[in-house]
Amino acid sequence: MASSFFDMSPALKRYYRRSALPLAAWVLLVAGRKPLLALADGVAGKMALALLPLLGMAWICWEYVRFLRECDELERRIEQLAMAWSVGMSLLAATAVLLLHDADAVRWSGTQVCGGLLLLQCFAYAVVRWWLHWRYR
Amino acid sequence: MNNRLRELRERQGWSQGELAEQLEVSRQTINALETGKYDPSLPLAFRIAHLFKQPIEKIFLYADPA
Repeated sequence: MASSFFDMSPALKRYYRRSALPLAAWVLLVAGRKPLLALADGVAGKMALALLPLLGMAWICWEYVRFLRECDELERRIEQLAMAWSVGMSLLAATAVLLLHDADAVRWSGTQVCGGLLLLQCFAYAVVRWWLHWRYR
Repeated sequence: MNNRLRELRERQGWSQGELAEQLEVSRQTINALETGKYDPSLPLAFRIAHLFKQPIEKIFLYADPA
């Protein structure tokens, strides 16, 4: 794995630079949505404000797709494999939770399940990506 | 698949980074190619052949798995 910012490919450096602003926007939107929700009246207004952080996330996704277009073929292969593995693991976990809920074996809230799946997806992506970089080092 | 990339690069006196820059790929990709951990796509193989002014089959050597 790249050991420092200077060892990274130009495409990855650009991606990190470009995604700093959307990441900051996402953090601000997540942090600011609760006070904003208190001001909203009506279901439509509440829904719009509740979903506001998605804008920051969509911006990050767009920057990631841009990075995939700009990186070289080995880097793209690593990213796509890491993404495929992490999505596969998240799908397996989501199905497992669904089956366990259906069998009344667990009682988790939607927030707990979605938060857990998001964390699992990010963790699996990071681990697989690290392993692939190590393999092709 | 085996290849003569390291030999050709060293003959030119280029570092992996310099070759990577000319081919517009990362140094990691050059290293993975030279150590046989990664086989290039056809367009990259053609770019390498063009850079070293050699036919592809003189650079990338098919290794029969049998």
